[in-house]
Amino acid sequence: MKILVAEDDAVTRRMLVVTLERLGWDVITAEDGNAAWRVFETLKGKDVPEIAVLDWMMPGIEGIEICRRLHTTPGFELVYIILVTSRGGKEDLSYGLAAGANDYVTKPFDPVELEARVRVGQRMVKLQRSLAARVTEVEAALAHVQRLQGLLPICSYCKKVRNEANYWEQVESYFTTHSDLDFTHSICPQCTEKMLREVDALPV
Amino acid sequence: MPADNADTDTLDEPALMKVVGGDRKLANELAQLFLDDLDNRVAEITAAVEARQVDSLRAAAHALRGSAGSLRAGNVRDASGALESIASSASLEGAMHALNVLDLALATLRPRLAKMTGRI
Repeated sequence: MKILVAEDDAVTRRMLVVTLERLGWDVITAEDGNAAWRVFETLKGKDVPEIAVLDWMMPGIEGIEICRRLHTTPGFELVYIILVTSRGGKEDLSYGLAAGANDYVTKPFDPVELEARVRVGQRMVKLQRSLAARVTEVEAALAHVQRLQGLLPICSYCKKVRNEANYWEQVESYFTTHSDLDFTHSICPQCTEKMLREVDALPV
Repeated sequence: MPADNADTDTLDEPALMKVVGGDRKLANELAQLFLDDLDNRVAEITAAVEARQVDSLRAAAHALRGSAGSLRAGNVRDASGALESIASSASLEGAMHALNVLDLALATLRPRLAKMTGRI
């Protein structure tokens, strides 16, 4: 999985990168907020980092503003954000979480704590992906069911049905295109009897 | 008199070594990164105090505090933190004194870091 580290301080950035690389993450770095946002824009629709570790206070776009942008930009809403901050006050943290951060670590960070929080983020990302896939499946199934709901006009004489385009078509072709049904053709006993009678009635 | 590296207020090397998982090479690299940025950071802080630029002082002091904290350089972290707090008041009262405290803290930290990086 891919993780973005945005931190302007070279010492802290190096420590973050080493800690995360030791955990096996593919780490992308940004030296300020503008560079961090460029990474997201560049990778949009391709390989967006699943987790972002953002310094709260850095040159350019601050971490807190990146949180807001990520949570309001389609394609980035599921990025799990961990703020790195030296602001340890409850009000500050509440403000950061309200802006869209999922979690935070305080500076100087403890690698063991960072690892634990990143692993929580990893689990959340997997869960969100799994839920998103399930929702897509359910939506597809629902759309399928809806197509077969409602009134379906059928000719009482020839048994053709009228489709959405207002054309009359055979029942089997209608259900083949509107469901997962496949028809196998056969002859029922009543029709077999009728057909045999017709055959017998044919002039020799 | 305690050995130089026993002064953990200036640089808590045992704590730093724990954070880097005992990787001495990485600890030395971090010391070098800190030194690489240090002169510019101090120049920014000094200029901001002299020009009484509150926002610049807050940002520069905050940056040095974070960097020193990560390196476990307690005295410089605290001195930078004091300057950051002073920057919250428009009067900048006590800024010159805090700057002197920072200079003193840096005077003991620099040789320690230079030793780590092999400069002395």
